[in-house]
Amino acid sequence: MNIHQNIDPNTTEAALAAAYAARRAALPGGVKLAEIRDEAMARFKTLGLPHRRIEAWHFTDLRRLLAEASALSGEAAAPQVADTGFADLKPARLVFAGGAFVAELSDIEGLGEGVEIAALSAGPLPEWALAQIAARRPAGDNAVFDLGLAMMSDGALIRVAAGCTPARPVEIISMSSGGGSVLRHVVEVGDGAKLRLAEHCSGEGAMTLTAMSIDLGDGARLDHVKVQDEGRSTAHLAPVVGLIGTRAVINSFTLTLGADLAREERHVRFDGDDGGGSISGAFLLSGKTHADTTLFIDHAKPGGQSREVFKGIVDDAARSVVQTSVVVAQHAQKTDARQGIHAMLLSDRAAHYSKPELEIYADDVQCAHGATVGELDENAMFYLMSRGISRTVAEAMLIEAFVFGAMDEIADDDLREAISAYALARLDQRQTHG
Amino acid sequence: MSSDFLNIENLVVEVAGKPIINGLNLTMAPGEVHAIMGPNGSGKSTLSYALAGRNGYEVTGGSVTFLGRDLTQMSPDERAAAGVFLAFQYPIEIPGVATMTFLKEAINAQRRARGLDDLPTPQFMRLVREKAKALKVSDDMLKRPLNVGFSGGEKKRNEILQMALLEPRLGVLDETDSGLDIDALKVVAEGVNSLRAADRSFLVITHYQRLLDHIVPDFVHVMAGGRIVRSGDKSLALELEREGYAEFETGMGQSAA
Repeated sequence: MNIHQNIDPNTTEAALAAAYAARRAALPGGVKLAEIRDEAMARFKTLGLPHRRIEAWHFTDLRRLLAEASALSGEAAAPQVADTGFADLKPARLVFAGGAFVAELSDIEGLGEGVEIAALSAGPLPEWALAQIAARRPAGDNAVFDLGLAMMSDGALIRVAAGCTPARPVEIISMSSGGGSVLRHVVEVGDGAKLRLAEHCSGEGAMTLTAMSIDLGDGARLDHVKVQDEGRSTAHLAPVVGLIGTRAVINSFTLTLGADLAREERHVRFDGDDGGGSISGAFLLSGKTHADTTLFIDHAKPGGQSREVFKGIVDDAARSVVQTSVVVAQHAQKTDARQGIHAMLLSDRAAHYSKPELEIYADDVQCAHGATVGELDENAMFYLMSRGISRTVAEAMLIEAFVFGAMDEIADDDLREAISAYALARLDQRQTHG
Repeated sequence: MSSDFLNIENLVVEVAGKPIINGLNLTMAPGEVHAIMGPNGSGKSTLSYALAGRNGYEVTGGSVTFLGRDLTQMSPDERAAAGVFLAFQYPIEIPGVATMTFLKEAINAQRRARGLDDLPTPQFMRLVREKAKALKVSDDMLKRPLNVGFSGGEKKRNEILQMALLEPRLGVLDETDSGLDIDALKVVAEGVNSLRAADRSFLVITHYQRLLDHIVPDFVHVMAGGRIVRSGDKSLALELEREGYAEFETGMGQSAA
């Protein structure tokens, strides 16, 4: 990694640094956490916001794109929980509004033995959470993650003890307003334990920065889905760091729908033998949304299996970016990694950038990647219409058929149904308004 | 001679700026079966696409009147609702679209266009099962995505199943016999014959006479150079089988895709 020195902070960077200075004393956590925050802010100031000359940010020039955002100032509006699509699963709920936990809207009781769940701001930070916050950072420079580390005002702490499974799935609802919010979620699933986690992000805040770290013990399993349905003026930044143990499984799926600017980052290290899972997603973009998903998958040990599958449509003047970098270490024999990035452009002004990357240092592996960018298949359109189906309905059928191929990546039936229904409702809206 | 059913007059169709059909005339009455034969590149498939309204098959001259309406001004779905059905030479595979969903959407779209209510699901299921059985379309095929993994014969039977369900006034069969063995050909031909009716006509496009042993036409036309150059009864097909198309291929001046 190169070291980037930010000698001349722009107004957004200066405003963020000033916001930190002003809020520092009021931010939750003890002395230890304050030290971590200070160090993170120092790194952020050195690095500055990432820009297009940094390879991983080539298609998403955050420094330029965030220039207009009013960084974290403004008043939070009264929170109101929207329909997140997960109600049928009767999940436990942690609700955050404007970067603060809202106890009266949350429901974190009755999850059963071995499940610890709390808000980061709720009291002294538990040792396990502090240790994870201190230790988990993406490899290399990451100014956005550091910014989150410095400024986090709240977040979900979820810990499932070894061998336990919560009685209900857990849902994290983040609603931003005004200046926005900075959250940090900390998730630990112990050896042989299981967790189903759903995230929903919405609101009209200027900037939402939601970082998360996930530790999966040996034989643990996490089924994670996220709906990013932010307002059209929001910058949504969401770096996630995962450390996956031996024979552990992570299935993480993100449905990207909204925001003005979105950057999902997944740094996943398969740190034990035979770890596996799917880090995938679907996107339905319109308007002027710029949505970037960037993956760093690190197969550090033998026998790992991973899938990175992304499918989506890009309409109007929207832009999508999907970068999937998979590294297979020298000793990680028998790794099986499959990447697929498929986008359909529905407008002449829409754009999509794919960047699948494979770095293989082992010699006995199966790795594949494929990327396609296309338009609606005119032959298929004609076939459907020649049977009497209208252009609008034929389009909707083909779009659904295309995008919903990605939903198969969601292994958990309930979560897949919820995400599919959410996406379908969005496509129906498109059809009605289109 | 003209008809209220289908009247094609002096039709000119261009593909990518090149005329493929050059002044074609054809008249069909209700209940008739017309076969169009001709060498490769004579414009047979182009005629079928022009009738169904495929993009890129531009009518630049002449007229097509179907049941009193100007077909050339209608979109493919409007033509379907008006009663035109094209059985594709190469049916399209559409992964992700379930065959049953597609059939239901198609049937109901046409019912709505005719001012009818949607077919209730149990009735729809019964109807599909009944028609599928006759065409030896298995439940397994119906459960698969549209045409995906279907053999050539299965695809063609699926086309005829769609025709049986949609009950068009005019069925255009574009080389439905291509890629079929004799057993599959018989199943398809029986399917078509069972749909023959006093108010339904067929335009059977084929390169070989073989299909016409099973679907016996009232008229046979020879197409070459984008026109119908000779018409006759079913004996013309036998003559072509004997003599070949050589006579029509000389001095054509142009060939077409």
